[in-house]
Amino acid sequence: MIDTEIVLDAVGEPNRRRLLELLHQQHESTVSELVAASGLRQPQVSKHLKVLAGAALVAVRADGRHRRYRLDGRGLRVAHEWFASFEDVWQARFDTLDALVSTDPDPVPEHSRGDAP
Amino acid sequence: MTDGSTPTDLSTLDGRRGSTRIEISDDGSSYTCVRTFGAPPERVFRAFTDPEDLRVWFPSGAPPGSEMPVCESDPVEGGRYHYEMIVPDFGPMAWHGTYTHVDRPDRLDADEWFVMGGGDPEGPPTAQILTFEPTGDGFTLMTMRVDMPEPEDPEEFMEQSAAGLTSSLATMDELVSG
Repeated sequence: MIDTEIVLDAVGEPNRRRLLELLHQQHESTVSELVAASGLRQPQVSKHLKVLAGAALVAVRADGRHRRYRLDGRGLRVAHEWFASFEDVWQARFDTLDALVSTDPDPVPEHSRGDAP
Repeated sequence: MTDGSTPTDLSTLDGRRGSTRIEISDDGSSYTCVRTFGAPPERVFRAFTDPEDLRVWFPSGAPPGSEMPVCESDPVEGGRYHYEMIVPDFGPMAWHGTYTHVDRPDRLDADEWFVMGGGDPEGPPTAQILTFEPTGDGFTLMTMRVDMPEPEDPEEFMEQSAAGLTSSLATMDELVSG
């Protein structure tokens, strides 16, 4: 079970999003490759990768003495589903709004109704 | 997606009636939504600003058991709006807004502060621009653009968090489809 808040927090940081982008482009990268490509310092990259791994956004495998990082679909799926729910809210709202305005034309369109109920 | 300067391409958004799609800018700092409604702009404008109408549509999509105890709106320049919802498992959520530009029925701009948990609004607001264009058939093409400040706390600000997901969404789409 992946915690949505941990995933959202992980992708909420610009440098971590940058690392995700780089991993997407490169498919697989070592820390030093990510350091070179991102312009971040090595300790920062390692720290961010740890957060991303904790959110199941990146996976790591050992390849000889290298550790190679790549994207992990599990965390990305959580982020995607969360965002889809956000989009669903607007869809539901606007469906209702459409039903309202198309079935209940305003009889007095120019009349100001600025007061709260 | 790295330079953040690419404008949102509205041609990719679906403005057909019945379809709502949100497009996030490449740098994640804004999103745009286009939608056609089956009534003229004056009627749609009213639906966005009249508390009685807002109470009908704004809570849609919220989980069952949600309530909207506060719904106030004064759609004049400098006027305020304030919606509050109580959502099961999430607690209180509030939208505090100031209308910054009101050109009825064509355009409605507002600065908005979204607050979870019942605190006071603080920090930079999101800036919203709504435009309502008449279509030839008596309908309205609405464009909603929301500019978000840099997320301070992605866990607390849902809209801002959504913006922060840009890159993971792009990669996600390719990951699951490829």
